[in-house]
Amino acid sequence: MSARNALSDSLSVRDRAIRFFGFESAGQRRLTAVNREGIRHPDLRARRFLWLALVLSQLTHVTALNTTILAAGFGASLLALIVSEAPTRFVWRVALLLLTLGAGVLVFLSYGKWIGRDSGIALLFLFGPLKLVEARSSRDYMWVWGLGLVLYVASFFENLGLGAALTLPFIVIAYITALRLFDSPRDERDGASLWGHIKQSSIHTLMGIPLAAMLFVLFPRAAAPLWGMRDTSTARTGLSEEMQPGEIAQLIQSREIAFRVEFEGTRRPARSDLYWRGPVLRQFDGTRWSTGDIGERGEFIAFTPEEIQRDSLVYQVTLDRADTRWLPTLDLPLAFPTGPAIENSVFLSSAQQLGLRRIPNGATAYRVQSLPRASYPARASQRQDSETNTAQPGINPRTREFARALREQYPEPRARVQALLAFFNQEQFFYTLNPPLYNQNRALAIDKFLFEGRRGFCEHFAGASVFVLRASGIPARVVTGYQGGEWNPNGYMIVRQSDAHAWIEVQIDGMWTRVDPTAAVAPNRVEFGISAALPETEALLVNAKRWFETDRLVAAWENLTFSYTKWVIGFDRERQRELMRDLGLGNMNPIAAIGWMLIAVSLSGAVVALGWWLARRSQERALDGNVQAWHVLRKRLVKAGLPVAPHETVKQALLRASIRWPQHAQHFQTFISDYESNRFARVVQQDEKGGPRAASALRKLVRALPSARALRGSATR
Amino acid sequence: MTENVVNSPLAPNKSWFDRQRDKWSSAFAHRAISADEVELVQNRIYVLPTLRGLGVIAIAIILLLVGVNYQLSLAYVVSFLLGGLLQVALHATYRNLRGLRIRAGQSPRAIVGETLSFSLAISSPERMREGITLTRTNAEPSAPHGKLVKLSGKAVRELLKRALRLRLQADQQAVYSIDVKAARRGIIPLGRIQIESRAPYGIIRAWSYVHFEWVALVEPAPEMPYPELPHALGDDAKTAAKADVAHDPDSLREYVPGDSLKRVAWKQVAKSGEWYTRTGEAGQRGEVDLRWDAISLTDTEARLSRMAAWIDRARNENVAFSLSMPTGALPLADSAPHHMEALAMLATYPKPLSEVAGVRA
Repeated sequence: MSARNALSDSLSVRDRAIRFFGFESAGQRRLTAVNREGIRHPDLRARRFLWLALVLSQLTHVTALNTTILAAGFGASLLALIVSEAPTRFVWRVALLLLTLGAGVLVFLSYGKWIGRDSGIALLFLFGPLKLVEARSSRDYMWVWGLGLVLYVASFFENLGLGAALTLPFIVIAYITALRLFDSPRDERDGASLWGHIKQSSIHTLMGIPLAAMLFVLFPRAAAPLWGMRDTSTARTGLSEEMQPGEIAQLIQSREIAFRVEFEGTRRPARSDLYWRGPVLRQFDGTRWSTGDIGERGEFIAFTPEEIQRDSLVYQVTLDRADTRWLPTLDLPLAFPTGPAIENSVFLSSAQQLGLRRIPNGATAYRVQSLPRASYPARASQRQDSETNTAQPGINPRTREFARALREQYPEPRARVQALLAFFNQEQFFYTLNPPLYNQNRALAIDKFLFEGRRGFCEHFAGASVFVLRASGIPARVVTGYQGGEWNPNGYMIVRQSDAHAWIEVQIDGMWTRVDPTAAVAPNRVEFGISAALPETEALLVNAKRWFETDRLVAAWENLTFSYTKWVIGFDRERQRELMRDLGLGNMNPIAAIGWMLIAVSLSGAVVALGWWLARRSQERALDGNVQAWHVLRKRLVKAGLPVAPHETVKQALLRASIRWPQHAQHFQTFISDYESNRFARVVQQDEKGGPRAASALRKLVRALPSARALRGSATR
Repeated sequence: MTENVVNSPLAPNKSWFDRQRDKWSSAFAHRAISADEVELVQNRIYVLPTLRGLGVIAIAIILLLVGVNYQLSLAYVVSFLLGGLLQVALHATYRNLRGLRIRAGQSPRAIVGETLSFSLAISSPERMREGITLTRTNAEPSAPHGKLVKLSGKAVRELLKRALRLRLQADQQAVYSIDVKAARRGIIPLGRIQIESRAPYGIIRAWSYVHFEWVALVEPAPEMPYPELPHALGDDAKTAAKADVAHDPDSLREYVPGDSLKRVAWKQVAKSGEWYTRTGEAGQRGEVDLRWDAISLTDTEARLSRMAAWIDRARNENVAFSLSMPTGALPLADSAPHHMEALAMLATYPKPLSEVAGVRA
């Protein structure tokens, strides 16, 4: 039944409905995509395929968005599927505008703002399909294409695992095929089928993989983000004079080196002693921990000469950059440090911190002697208000209740502290770099952490511990600094920003004692984030893996995930440097990197061209040997100046060649007769050597002719 | 003191940029080639990204920045895959044009007001090619004789948007027509053709130029209604005698292709199926001499129109004619080629037909 019949027959209900809604004229659906002005727009097949690609992008976000937005987004996609042409009637355009505004309002209601990472993603999620509804020209389609691709990449904030990597090729091929279809209407004569397009896109994407791989390896990695995180829920590890852990949803481990330490002598500190003291946070105002009153007049703790002789460590610290005024020192320093930049401005605080009155620019080096101790006597004359202060009485009631119960149950402070640590260990507390936010109600932040969320990093644990202990009557304060360090084969220790840590000090029996609540968390509940496949944490990951090694398949998957995480996701600056060193490319500054990338581009271009040339060669080889010989001869004649049209037969062309080069006329004649008999002889002569022999005879003939240049010179007409 | 200011004719309304470009390109003016066939070669094919391609590049850069800032390695991967696609598309689009052969067809002829159709034969020697478009880059001439005016880039893009996209399989030939409106009588050169392809992704544009020496002849519109033919040559005043069909078998000869169909003995054809031409004296055609200086009109175009009307009328009434014009003369004859040649002479007036370059048979 032709389209014309459809018009004259009574329209079905569906067609009538479609026409009523003004989306398209019923019966004209199958006409070409050329509109009145003669300009081709992408046709329905292109539209539907782009819709598919967009839906794939949307599906990558199902775990990240809330249900309302998901429902709205998929509803909009359904609308985009039904609508096969951009609406022209006023009614529907107004309706579309209202839908768009509604989408904006919905995002605002869900996230409270429009500018921000999550709200931006939600906006893309909703606007993508709506834009597709009203897309008409290929420029509109390109906008939808771009939106869809950005939406897809935004899903990597949530899923960066091996699963995302395995689906990446398919989604990218879907987008590339969609791009192809913009200019290929389905009803084009000799046009490829949809499957043909998909196949071609896949082949082209595969051809682009070498360049992509080379650029991935060579592109210089930044140590720090390019622009400030306006979205303050992401933070980087490092020191600062205050902390507000409930605001942070993602902690990025910065591999930047904080300082280097060279130990003199033969004594090396144990790992449990490697607590480098930095800012001490005493003051809690209900939401934020800050340093409070510093008190510059501290006193060095006196030790006996035997202790000093036995345990002291002398070391030289080189700070790359001073973030705060505090010089990282191992507990406890014995005397003022010496160093060119600091000697005039260094002081000791009442919390045994070495600080500078004036923060120097650039690197700072100093030499210190410390005695590693976990506790030291508290000075009685110190004001203790801040250390017992738990801010307003009304906040975190449940925690206060818990603290009171602890106090009743464990009147002895030491036992109380142990009980708190046991609480962390036995309850389902998780250490993670991607904790939930605890800032919806700041007055209940610690309650939420201790009894509901139970996921956080060191700052959460330290802050909550101090609050509990203060509420139970034990003075406590948060100490931040660095913990641990990495031994470099050259004999010094590297401490990175990712080693920044927060622990606590509690005053028991007149002594400030160091307690690390994070260490109390059960080891199999230590979750590291995506950027965590770092050298010093590999051991930890291995331990966690053993827990899973029950099933071989699961273990293999875990191995794959681990390698993938290490080499793709965790491919940061350090790992790139390692790889470059292994490849022999050594130290690379950005300029050199650009040079290498350009080389990579040229190389891959050559590879692509080579690939095509080889494909054509194999195509040629598949041809009959006689035809091959003719092709070679034809090429030579064309080069020599005789134009041979593709439709000309061998005989025609060579006759003309004989006129031009009468000295080779005999040759050409032989070629003609041999060629024709080889290919078209009615009786196939089966001599023992068979076909290939005849073809090789032709080839010999061709070889006997002079080269193209010589022919050109000897033309007689 | 009053100055005699002579107003120079207004320069064409072009932007500064266009004028600079014309200055530049006139130094490298393309020469028209007289060869029949052209093959596109690598150093004449130009490749650049299209607007869509620039959009893809922008998207790739945005994704790269997102990856760099938030340390998302897979964003790097997507961005670099787009880069890889760009490179492959560059090769693929370039290959659409490389090796393409274009052959100029005949010189089209039409009457003023009709559309001229320049037909080119495109052949694809080795592989499949798609998205081939051919557009002219010179404006339809309304300017004086033979001078080509370049079309602005925007106008060429408009033409491109509507142009037919050709798709060729390996070793396939196709015919592509470029239509030009015959706005005025005379010689209308096609000028330079731009061959372009954007397939398969539309993100890279590969183009090349071919400039055939190829003109179209636009004949003058005949004067309507047809005026009376001038007095016949050598006969009495009763001219244009109706051809009395004589079926004298003696004056028949075998039909040779090219003989005027008006002289075929149709009754014989109907009877026997064999074709014969009459050569008898009876039913003799009329003869007339058409002279340029015999026309008393002053306007050249009107004169040409009258001449064209006479020629057409002579042809319709089966009257042989001879032509004499300031640019040349034609002997008495009565055949289709003679008719065409006469009209061609009218079309190329005031240039003689032999002096016009680019007339392709």
